[in-house]
Amino acid sequence: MNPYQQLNEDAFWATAVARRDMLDISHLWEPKFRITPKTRIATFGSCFAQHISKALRRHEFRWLNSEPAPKGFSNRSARQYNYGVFTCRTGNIYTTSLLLQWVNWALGVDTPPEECWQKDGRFYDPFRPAIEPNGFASREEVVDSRAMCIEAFHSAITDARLFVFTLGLTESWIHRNHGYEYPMCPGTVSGDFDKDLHIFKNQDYATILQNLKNAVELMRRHNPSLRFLLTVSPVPLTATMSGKHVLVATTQSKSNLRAVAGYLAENKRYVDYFPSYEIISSVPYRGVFYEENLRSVAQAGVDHVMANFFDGLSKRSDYRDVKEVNERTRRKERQHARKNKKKRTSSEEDVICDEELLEAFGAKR
Amino acid sequence: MIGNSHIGCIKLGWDEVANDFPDTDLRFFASAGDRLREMEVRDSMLAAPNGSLLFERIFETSGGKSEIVPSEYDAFFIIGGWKIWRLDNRTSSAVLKLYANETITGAMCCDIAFKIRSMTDKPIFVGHNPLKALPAGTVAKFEKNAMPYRRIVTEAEKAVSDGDIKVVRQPEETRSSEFSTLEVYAKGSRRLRGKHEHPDRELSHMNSQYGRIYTSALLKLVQFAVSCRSR
Repeated sequence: MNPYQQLNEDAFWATAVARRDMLDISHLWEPKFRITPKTRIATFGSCFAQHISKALRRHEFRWLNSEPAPKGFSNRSARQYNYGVFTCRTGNIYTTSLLLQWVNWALGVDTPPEECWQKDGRFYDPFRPAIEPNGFASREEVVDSRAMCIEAFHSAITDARLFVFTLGLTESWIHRNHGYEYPMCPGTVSGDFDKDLHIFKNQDYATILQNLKNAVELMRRHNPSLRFLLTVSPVPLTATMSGKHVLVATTQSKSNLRAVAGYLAENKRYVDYFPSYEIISSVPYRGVFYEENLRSVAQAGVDHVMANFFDGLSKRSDYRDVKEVNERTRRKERQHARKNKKKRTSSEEDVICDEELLEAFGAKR
Repeated sequence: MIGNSHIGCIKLGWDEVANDFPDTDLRFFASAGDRLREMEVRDSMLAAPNGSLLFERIFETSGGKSEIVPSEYDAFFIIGGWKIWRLDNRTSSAVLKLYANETITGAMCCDIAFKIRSMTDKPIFVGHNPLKALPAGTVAKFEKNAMPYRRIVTEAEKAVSDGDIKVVRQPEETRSSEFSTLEVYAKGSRRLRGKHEHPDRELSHMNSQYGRIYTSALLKLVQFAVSCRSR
């Protein structure tokens, strides 16, 4: 008799993974705390977090939209102007340090810098460079619009009961003198790159963990009932400044992010981890959930991730209301995922991912 | 005078101020909701599909007319479908422009206006639904960062200026804020057909007192436009 003999089949690779159809691999997530359709949920993070927002809305969960599009605005325009992509118009928050920066601004720990970029008579927000397709009409508009967003981010912190955050990147660009971080390297989406002013930093495990811990604790101080669900984006880096091969750099980045998310989930009762990263990028799935570019996640992958998410929720015995809401939609998600398994279909709607712009601005391709 | 339920208070207001405008004769064409969109341009007139409910309503509200013949009138006013909501003053000018454009050009009133414009160059006016008569508490909550009413309407005016469509602004004395109507004007508003009042909680439809102020302001604009045209 040894301890392994008491384990169920989920603990063994052969029975839980190798002998199963990839779409039948199950029990990947057991939610740590109650999430119901009535839970007020805020979503932020890198590109992949947008899929979670969409799925939550589709399943009639109470997804918070603290900076909604003006009433009467068409869906097309709302999307073009980044309304309803995340809980408010922060744009992609790729790193844990960027998350902390937004939290500090929203909770008054720090004030946002005055920096504003200008190009062809239009003005751009360095912290949300692609938030409006053609920038803003003036510097004042940039500042006003950002102030609105910070206010909305504050509401998200105080009104939400669950804060979903998708960790995306470890590589970051910092202002040398002031220490603040840009979501995108200046000179890519907008702005001008200044080698004396803009410095590259590939964040290590300790930095990522510390920033995320600080952000979580600060938010909890303002909203003690707030819980966190962390995910790691399965989307590889578009480009790396680390000097390593982009494949190696991606593995290092994602490994650090995954380790941080896992550590916090194991050590804080109010933090959970959902394995979207594993579902898309691990070996048993053989890369079928990626598009032709082996980077973007196909709709079938997103559907499969979300089917696992709602499956996980519905398996808790106290989740009867979730079961009712999801019984029908879960079935649909699975059917959809099966149908698209080999098609590598494009996402129903393009995901807004500033980082992809790096490809357009990269020098050697 | 063409419109949906919101033309009701204008009709009631007109009944009260008609004597002040002895040289003006108004003809009303009304049907609730968005149904007026079904009006079609046919043989130089705007007509409802034969046998439709709209046809009946047009006939009923106009006192026996079954179509709108542009050559019979000097000017046109259309109301319905164009809503103005509260907007944050910090909204970017690009979003404001798009918002104003989409809300006015997508509205039923503009649909009708452009159909009429395709047949005549006479003055055409459109009006937005009355701003909601929001309670004072709600107004106070959002007043601080409210976009000025005139900024929104000015953008809407630009959006339809190519079609030479003129926009009627809600008279200032009827507004309690940049985005609301004084509550007094929503009390005792009547339904389009019959003499029944809207429920007390109704915030969108206005009463005859409002209609009187609105119609007087509107007719001054119309008279000016018509006189300019005849010079």
